[in-house]
Amino acid sequence: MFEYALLIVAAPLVAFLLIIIFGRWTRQGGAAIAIAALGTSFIVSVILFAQVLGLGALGAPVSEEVFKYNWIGPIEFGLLIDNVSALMMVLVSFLCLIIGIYSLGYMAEDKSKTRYYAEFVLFTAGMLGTVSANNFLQFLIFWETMGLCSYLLIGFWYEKSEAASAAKKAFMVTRVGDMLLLIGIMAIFASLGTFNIVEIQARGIPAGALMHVIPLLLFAGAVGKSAQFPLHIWLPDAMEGPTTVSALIHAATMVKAGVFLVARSFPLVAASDIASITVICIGGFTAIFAASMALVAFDIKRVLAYSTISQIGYMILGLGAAALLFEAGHASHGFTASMYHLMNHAFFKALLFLAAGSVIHAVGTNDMRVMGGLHSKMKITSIAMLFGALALSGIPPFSGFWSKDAILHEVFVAGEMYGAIFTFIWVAGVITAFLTAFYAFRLWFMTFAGKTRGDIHPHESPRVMTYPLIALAVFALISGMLAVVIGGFGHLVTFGGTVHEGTMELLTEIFTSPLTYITLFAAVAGIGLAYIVYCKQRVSSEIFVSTSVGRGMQKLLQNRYYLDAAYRGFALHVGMGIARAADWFDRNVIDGVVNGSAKLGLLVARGSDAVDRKGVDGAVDGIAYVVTGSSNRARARQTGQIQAYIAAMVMGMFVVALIMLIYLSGGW
Amino acid sequence: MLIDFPIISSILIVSLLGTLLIYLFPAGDRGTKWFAVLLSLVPLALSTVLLLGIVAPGSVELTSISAGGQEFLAYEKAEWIPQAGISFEFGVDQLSGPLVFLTSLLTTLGMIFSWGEKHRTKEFFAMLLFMQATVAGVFVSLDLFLFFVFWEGGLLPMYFLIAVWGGPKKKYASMKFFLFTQAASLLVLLGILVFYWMSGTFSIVEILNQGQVIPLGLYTDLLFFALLLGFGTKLPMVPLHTWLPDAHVEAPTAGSVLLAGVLLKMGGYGLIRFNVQMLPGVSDGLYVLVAVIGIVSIVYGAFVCLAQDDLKRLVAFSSVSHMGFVTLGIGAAMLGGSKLAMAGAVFQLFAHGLISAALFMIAGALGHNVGTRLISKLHGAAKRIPNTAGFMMVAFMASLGLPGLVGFVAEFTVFLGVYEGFEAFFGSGLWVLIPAVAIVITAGYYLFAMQRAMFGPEEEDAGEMKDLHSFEILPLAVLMFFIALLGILPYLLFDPILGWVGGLV
Repeated sequence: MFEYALLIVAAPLVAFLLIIIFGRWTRQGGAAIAIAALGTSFIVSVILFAQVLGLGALGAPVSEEVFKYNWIGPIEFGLLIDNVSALMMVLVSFLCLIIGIYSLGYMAEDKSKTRYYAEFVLFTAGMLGTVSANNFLQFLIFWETMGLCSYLLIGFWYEKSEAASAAKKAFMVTRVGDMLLLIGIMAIFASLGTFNIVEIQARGIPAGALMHVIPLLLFAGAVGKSAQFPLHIWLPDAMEGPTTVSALIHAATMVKAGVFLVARSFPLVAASDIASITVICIGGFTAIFAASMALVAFDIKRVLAYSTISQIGYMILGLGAAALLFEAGHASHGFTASMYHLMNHAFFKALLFLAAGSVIHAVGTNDMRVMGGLHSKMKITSIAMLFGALALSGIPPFSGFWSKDAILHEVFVAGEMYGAIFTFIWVAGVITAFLTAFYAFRLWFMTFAGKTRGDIHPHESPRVMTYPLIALAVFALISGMLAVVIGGFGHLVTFGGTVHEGTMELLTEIFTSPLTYITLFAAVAGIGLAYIVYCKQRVSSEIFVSTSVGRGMQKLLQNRYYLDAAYRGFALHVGMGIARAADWFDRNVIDGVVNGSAKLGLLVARGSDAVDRKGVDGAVDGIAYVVTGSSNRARARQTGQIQAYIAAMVMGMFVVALIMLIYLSGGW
Repeated sequence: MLIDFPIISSILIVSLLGTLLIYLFPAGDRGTKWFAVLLSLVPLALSTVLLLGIVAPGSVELTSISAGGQEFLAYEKAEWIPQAGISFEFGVDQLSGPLVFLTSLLTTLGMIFSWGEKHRTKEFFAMLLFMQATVAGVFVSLDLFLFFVFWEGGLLPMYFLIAVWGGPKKKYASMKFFLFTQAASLLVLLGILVFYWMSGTFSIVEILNQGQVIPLGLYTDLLFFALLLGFGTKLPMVPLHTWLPDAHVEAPTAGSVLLAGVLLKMGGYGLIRFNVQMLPGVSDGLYVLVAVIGIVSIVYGAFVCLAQDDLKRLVAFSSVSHMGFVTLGIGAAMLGGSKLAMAGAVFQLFAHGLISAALFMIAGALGHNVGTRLISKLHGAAKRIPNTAGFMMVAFMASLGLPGLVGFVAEFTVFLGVYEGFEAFFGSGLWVLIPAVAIVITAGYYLFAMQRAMFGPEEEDAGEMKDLHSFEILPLAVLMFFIALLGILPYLLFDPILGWVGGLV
């Protein structure tokens, strides 16, 4: 019934081929082809989503596999259409389209537009393919396609050393996760004989050590792709790419693929308490850990990058909490809440990045220290970004509020059941909410409020850029509420049965819970502090570093807890150290043995040299003549001993043949 | 469509006669290159028919003969030295057919790529064609004596390609190449003679039909070991690989292309045809050794790559690393009975042939067009030579096993088979983690090289750089086509191989 879904993935793939072949001859470097393909994907996704909703919203969730073919042997590929993939496709294709349109303005003056749009649509195909894969191997193929495009687009301005280095870092760090993911997938195949996601979800991993190891290996892939601790270090550097790329790949879509992977393998995670607890701990820790580094960043995009890592930490945390509750036999909304936050975050983070891009486009720098006072010069951008900051901070009725609240609620429930450690993580989540609101508004105030600090001449961006901002700002406002209106996001995406709740029940539940007010208070406090320090400047920001502890903290945070340096040191000293040692071994030991024995051989050969010269040189010169011509005789002679070997070889074969002939004819 | 026509002998005769005909051209004649390339299209077309007969038996039907449960297609036989039971006996199967195609394809592409060769053009093209004949001869010979004649014959053109058209250290490199492979050939010859004495025939078909021709025991294991060393040198496996980097660095581009693309495959082919197919039932310990050698080659080769500055040397060591997948696949398949691992090893022979050919073309093009292959001297080159950088990127991605390209299929299936094999034999498949480390290291050395050679700010005082010529783009584009095609639709080639492996493992 959903065969046409193939078009969603195929359109950008075809566009990729068209752009690399014909793009350079079109006026806009293939932009028109790209937009047409993205538009097609979006429209078809909407139709698909509507159909899935119509079929499944009030009954059992839809799950159907279409367009199957055998990749090799018994391994079957195809598309899996269910509520999750239909939602993801609509989300991804919408964001790709809107950021594609924004790119028309943002990249207008770039000389390498063809390359840009080719990589852009290939990325789109990769992401759409990832979310619609019906098996983990196909999932991996598209997943790595995204990784390739991420690498190419981070290094889009490759003549900048930082961009080239950041691209490599991104690929390498995610590759570590990918390697573990690959092994996890192989382990699944070895124990179940299939890659098919639906089948794997239904059957689960048989009890044993692998039951824990497999979800952990899959999660390692998610940690790399979604930039979770300890593989988070590539994402801040990835901001070297064009801002459109940061918005699309490194905020709204690709980095969510890890969350999506955990969602796809949810039953496997939920079958193992070790895996669930690991997921919770990594998610919770990453949330607060990344938020802390956002506090001291002055690069507008890096603040947002740390924020992305932190927010994805929330999603992972929600999934982990849900998995743990499931494992213990309780119902949980955590799965729903995480997917809900994934959607909301995609909108408001894309908005924040595009708004930041609009600012960068206008002022020509990423450094917030030279900005300030931009509100009067670029009102649309400013207000759009304010919407984004409010959504990120979790202020109702903006979207972030609803989903973040839901996740923290689930963690609290888990804490009530499992005791101190999860209550502790819940507290960390609330503190993160405070930090989030603080850095979000620190960013907004430093950029738009007060007086301009640097020598900059900003102007509002063209309409092709502001209209996408407006569209996303609307979504940042309403995407959360839309789910409330239909009675909870659980009607769209859920795991383990549909949650039936009315709008009023939902609202009552949210606003009568004290937990809601605790998080809300934390957020408001964060905004208030940012207002006092960065807008009114009643308190100088110097106050944070007035003590030695404060200065130490700042240094620690600015150096990213020294993790980047540690990894770099490991790669340079251990990795390259082994490489140099191996190279030395190869050149000196292995080659040494060979050359040594060759010298020995030569010594022996000298003894028979005289015989050699007289005996075989004639024959060898003959061969040399045939092969290289008469004028090359000298050269052939100069190659030294080798003629002897050729002659020996020819004669040797002759002798062997002779011996055999005699032997066979019984002549002995 | 049934084709009852001596395809294989036609391939060999056309190539061998062509070699001689090229010599008839006057030196410096512009028509020589055209003649050579057009002539090489004949074996290419015939090899394509063979390949189609193997992967799409519905469209092209070839005559067949059964041998020990397996089938050889396009079978031909004619007497040669009847007193010794030696005959011209040819045939291909799913193992050798793709390799014959690869040989013909890379010969034609290598010739086109060498369009700019000025030094002794006539002889150069003749050597390439001669090489094509001998290497194809190795793959198609079903007579052990004939096999050995071709096996040895292949050394000559390669030796001359390095010694005459090679780089500054060509004398050392060609000598080392010759001595090493010649020593290995002795072991192969010994193996062939043992087969002959035990079975009374040189015919592979008859040996396979006789089944267990060699009684199991110590001597069989020794024979296996001798053949492993012989074929392993060619493959090459660590620590017998040391002739390879020198030969590659000094060889002219087309020579490197054929050396990495098909000459190494003779080793893999020999291992599977002789050790696996003709010596069933040897001790497990030997296959443990094979698997361990594979793992060592993969990881060691990758680490050595990381320390290289000469791009050609880097690519040469990456061949050591990637051919390790063949060894590992064979070892794991025979230990754990994984069909996927064996099919992956066979597929890797073909995949690596395509990828390494592209890699050596790029390294060679940098040498010709830019004047240096040293990564440290190239930096920031992408701006000036964007086409070279683009092809380099695709080739690197293919080689590091990016899903969607042909290398991934081979590596993934080998790993998958290794997982199954290790689980069956060692109790846990997670040992696969050791060779899998190479996935990260491989990405490391390629991306590191890419970053230093191509990205970053342009070098101020860099000399003149020329981008790829059209005669260099064409062969690269053809390779990329196959690399992508078999990466996306691998079943076209993989499933026939998997079917063939079914009767083996």
